[in-house]
Amino acid sequence: MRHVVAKPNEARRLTEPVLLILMSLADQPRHGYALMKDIESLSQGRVRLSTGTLYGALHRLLEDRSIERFELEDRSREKQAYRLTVAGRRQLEMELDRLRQLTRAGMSRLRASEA
Amino acid sequence: MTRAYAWLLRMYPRGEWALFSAEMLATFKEAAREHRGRGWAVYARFALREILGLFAGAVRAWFAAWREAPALDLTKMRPPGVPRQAYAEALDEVIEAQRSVESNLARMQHAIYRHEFAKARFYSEQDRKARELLRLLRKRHGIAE
Repeated sequence: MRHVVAKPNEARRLTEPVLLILMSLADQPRHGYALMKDIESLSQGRVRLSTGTLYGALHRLLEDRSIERFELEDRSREKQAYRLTVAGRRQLEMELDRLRQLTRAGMSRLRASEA
Repeated sequence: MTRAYAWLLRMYPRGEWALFSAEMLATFKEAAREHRGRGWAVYARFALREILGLFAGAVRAWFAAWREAPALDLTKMRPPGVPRQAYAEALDEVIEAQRSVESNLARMQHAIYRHEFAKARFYSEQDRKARELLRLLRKRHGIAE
């Protein structure tokens, strides 16, 4: 059984699709299809989200107020775009910090075993 | 395929998902156009992934809706000192207004599916008015959301 000790106020661990969505929105707002394409390119073709998975994750992120939706100026396309909120940016930074720390610890163990 | 996708979208719970479904359909159409151009096998894989994703998404959405639904809503119980008849009438009014909100939302969704955007804007305005009426009724009768 796996035991995880959560620190107070620690953010929930993000699933890979959610992390990739936050990463994709970090530099600019995007609409649904642009998100799907960008996530595919960010993950070098490894992750291809279906619309069901994408909008499920977007729905949860909207509920958590990590992202917000707004209407694009190009009204003819009837599209909504999404952008990161301050809380979402903070959440992304925390998750990337956690991954950085894990990578560092893993690399140091590998180096120690090789030495 | 687009028709099948639009039909499968009905598996999702109503309410806020109604607003998402029009957007999901538009995103699907765009992705389908691109995959169709990349050959039959790529399109078949894409279609399968989309259908499975929709099923999984609908199950997750229903589970989330079920988890959030309160077993017993104490806020809708008759407050002490309010006559039974008066409270029943007030509740009827609020329920009627609630139905009007749901019906406008469904009509708006249907109009978006059919790309009748002028109609959709009309129902969007009706929806705004119905929600405002519902809010006023709740406030007047002291019924929480």
